[in-house]
Amino acid sequence: MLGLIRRVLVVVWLTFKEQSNWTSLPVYLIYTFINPVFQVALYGYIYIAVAHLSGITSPEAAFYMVSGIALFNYIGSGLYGVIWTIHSEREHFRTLKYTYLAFPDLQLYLTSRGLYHYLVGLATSLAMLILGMLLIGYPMLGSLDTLPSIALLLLIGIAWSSQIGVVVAGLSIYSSEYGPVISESFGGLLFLLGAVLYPVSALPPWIQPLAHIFPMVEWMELMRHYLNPSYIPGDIGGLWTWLLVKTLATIIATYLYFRLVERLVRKTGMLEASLHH
Amino acid sequence: METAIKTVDLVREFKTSRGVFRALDGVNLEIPSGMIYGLLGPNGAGKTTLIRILSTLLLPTSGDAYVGGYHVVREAQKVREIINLVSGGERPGYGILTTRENLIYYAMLYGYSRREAEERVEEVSRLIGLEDFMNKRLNELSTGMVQKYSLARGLLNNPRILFLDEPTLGLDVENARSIRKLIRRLVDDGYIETILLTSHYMYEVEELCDRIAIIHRGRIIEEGTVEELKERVSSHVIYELTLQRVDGDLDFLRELDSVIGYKVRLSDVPGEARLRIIMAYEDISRVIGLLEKKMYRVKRVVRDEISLEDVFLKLVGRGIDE
Repeated sequence: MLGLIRRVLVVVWLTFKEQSNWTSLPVYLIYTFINPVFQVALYGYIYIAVAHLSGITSPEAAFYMVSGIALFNYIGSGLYGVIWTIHSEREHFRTLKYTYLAFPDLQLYLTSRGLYHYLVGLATSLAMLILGMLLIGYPMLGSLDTLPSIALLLLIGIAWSSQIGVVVAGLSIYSSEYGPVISESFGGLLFLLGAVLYPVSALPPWIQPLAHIFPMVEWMELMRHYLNPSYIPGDIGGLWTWLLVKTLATIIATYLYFRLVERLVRKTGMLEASLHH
Repeated sequence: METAIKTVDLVREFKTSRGVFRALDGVNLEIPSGMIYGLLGPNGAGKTTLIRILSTLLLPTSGDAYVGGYHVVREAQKVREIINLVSGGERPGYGILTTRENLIYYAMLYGYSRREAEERVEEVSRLIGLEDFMNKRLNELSTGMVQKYSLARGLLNNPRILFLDEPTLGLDVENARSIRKLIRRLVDDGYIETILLTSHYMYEVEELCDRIAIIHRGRIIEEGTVEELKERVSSHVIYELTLQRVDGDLDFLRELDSVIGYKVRLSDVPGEARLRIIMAYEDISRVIGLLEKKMYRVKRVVRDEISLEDVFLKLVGRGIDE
């Protein structure tokens, strides 16, 4: 077990090096924070501009939007980190086959590669929430009592989203050219369906069942609730139940799916296939 | 002697746009431990496919393969614990990290603690002669040094069996020689129990390998020590002819019953070519006659000793790089 933890930690270290080694630490930190901070500033400004022009203000809607993009930043960062691994290791660094031989489980390796991105996502999302709160003036993180629930939800968020990332990474193994496109497209799909900017009920009825396949909706709504307990998205107990059930189902389904992928990958020799660069 | 690697009727097929391509066509091999075993064959013969199957990266279509007694399909994880793989002509690794960081990373991937990894990396880098390059970023290393780094990575987990796939591919003469020396030392000094090496360089296999299998179109067509293989063509006659010019192929030579195979290569002298020919019996006068009839001027004729190249010529009918 200790050996496995060491392996996971060194993978996190590698990801940090891979992400940051091109420049000095201060420049890397500025680079890391600048995009999410400007993103929240942009959405905040859109809200302020619309409120100014229409004369209608809705701090609740603003909270929904700002918390949505901040939380999606956390999920999206990790997801992207997991999915991108196949492309970068096979096409760019040419290390995938050697990693496959050295690390005992490819699924765990991919998840470990995402961990650093979740950590960065957490820091930048926090910055986004604070900036959003300053811009919009809506109360957030008002009570320390909700912190354990938030911490638990953050872990659950890693559990389901990293496994969804593993599913998409499994798909991208079969396409070197389209791997990055698959990764971007899937992030876009979650952004669209995952209660990020608007509730699922605002989507066309025919697409709403698709949104409920993923645990993202329950996760987003519960996170919003614990960030601001006056926000009540519905039956909190019911949301928890569905979140846990869907998370468990995602983990089990991904495990079974990835065993199949691994076998197919060995059958087709795709671990070494390099179709790009 | 214990068997390190065994394959039984191993077949691997690939689906291509032109149909099914059989890369391995019933390979049967038994490689004893404690040696460097060479797999010699031209490009596309099936060498790399075999290594990929044995290193658990690829599944066979049918047949069985065992590495260190473990089945490569059913006990893949156990196989991975006792092997490592080094491929030539690649630059695998994180170019933004130093050589040391790359090696420590891989050592820790194999489960070493940080301290153990550092010690192992120091030991391996001394053995390989990488000490002066440990603090350089991988993307700053020359091709030869990258190959040494790859070899060091291949030793980190202290493998019993090491697969070397074309380890000197793309290297200059000096670097290739240095890598070959290292490989020999790894087995002689007991660092590695068994090495399976693929190559399409005759001299490399001849210099390094204790036993050799010649693979052609997915089949093992001959197996033995270099001496045994040479012995099998000892009754044949080898000549090396210097020709004034060679344009087009010399397949008309095959009209002679005596001719088993030939190979043409450019001479160091401009406008000249060397023809190496293997015959079942002494028939050089008819060969020269036929060449001159086809307007080739024969400048020099030398009867030669049998080399591994001649074994290949006899078995395949042409040179390994043709």
